[in-house]
Amino acid sequence: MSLKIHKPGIQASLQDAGRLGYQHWGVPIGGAMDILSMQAANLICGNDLSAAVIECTLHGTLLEFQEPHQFTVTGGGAIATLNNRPISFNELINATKGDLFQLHPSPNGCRSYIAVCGGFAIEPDLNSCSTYPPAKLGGINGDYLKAGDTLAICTRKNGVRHQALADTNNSSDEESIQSILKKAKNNVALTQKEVTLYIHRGPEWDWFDLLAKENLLKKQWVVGNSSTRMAYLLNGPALQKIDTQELISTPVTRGIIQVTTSGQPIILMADAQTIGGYPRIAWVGSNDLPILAQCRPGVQLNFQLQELVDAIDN
Amino acid sequence: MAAGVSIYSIHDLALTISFDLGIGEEAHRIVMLLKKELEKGVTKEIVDIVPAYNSLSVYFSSKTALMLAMAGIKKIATEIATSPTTSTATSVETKTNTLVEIPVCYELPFAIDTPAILARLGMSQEEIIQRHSQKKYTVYMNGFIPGFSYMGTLDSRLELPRKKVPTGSVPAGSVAIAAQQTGIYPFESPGGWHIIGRTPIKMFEKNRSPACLLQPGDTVLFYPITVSELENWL
Repeated sequence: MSLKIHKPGIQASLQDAGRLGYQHWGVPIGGAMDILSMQAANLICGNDLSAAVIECTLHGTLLEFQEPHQFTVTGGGAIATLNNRPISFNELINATKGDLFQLHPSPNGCRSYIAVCGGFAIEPDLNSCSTYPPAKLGGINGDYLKAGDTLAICTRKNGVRHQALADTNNSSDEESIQSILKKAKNNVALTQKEVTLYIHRGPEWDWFDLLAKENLLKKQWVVGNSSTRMAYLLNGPALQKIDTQELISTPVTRGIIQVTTSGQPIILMADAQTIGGYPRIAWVGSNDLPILAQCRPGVQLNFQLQELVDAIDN
Repeated sequence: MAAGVSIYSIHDLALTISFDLGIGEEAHRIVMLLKKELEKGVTKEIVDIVPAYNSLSVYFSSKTALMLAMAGIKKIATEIATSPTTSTATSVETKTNTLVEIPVCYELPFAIDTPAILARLGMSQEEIIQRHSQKKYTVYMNGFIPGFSYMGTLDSRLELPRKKVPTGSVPAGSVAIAAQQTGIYPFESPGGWHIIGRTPIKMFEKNRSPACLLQPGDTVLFYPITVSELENWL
């Protein structure tokens, strides 16, 4: 039971819920950029919620099913075809031996997630299959998928439709499943080129001058071309600091908006390093990270400040 | 001694406790004391505790757990920072009691940047080796890439600012210095520190337990080896 990679596309990689609990060793959390679409793909296939899926960025991926399989594709950023016939996202699809799955250019979204019923047979590193090439962790030999790779598929559960849904007797579980599927599908970045995200004041918010704060909240920020799984570079006016003090390197994590020495904001993403030394003007909350994950380079971001209901410094 | 303490969210699942102290043994001691207290089990919903130079971050599995734990963590941190016994706490309390001896070949071609820094430091290669390997270092934190340990404090005569333009590809095992720190690149990566040698020791190996060789609080001593010892290291 396997899937053959003919063309990986841009940085296609196996990703799950990430590698929690190893940041003190300098290991990024990693995992799917759009956690909701990863979970939705697994729910549709009846897999464990956090089983490893293939994360594809934009188009270019070409895969071949080497036996009959049921699979799904979630997220966006591409038009999916099976043997050149368009297929729907977020549906269980039957593939037969020799079927070719391909991702073609589309105008919106950024990342699609392919799950197969039964899941991929991958050995985890540090409790996760998420691919992190700098330390050769997860995936196939710790690397992005390459042409010629063969991905083994677990036979267990194969062919069981919506098992996670069918097994649910608890209505609150059923609600949370429906909520994941709905949120994943309704991600605004899958259909729009302009997106509003909530941000919170970062620890170094007051290191920046009034104009910088105003610019952050009122200007449109464009997702830069060299944005990666590690960080999104934002293009817009330079954000100036009031004082010249330097931050002593301190832990950072995904969602944090750092400002480089030249004044450019950078949003840390799934593969973010664990320690950083740039001032943190703001952060994007967990709820909005799947939206950001579906913003391709060129998408315009508007930031709206959300006051924390919890007073922390009291 | 009473170091100022601040506690703040860096994200909806992470809190940072920061002490108003510069990089050094005193800040490290307080950070490690706090880590030790938090490890006693403030809540089961802590998924990671990440010590840094003068701060420590706590990662939670839920927003609710973070909210519930915040006041308690602030109280512990304040007690540690203001306790009169903190400044006199012996290193035994916060050190891990682990001394790790790391072999380093300080010779060319592995000491990639040594020729370029001799004149700036105004010393011979032998003196660099002697000053780098004569003292014990404390592991302050891990970060940058998996297994990269920030160690201090470097002999003040070896202090150099980071390179203005980082090297695109530093070989794995490179032993480097920058400002008051020394560190080892566990994997081939870009890097802005000055490379003065190479170790055959694997700083991070995913199938070893623990995968990361050095833990915050460990003591490290470097000792020189020859080129042939490096090349024949098992």
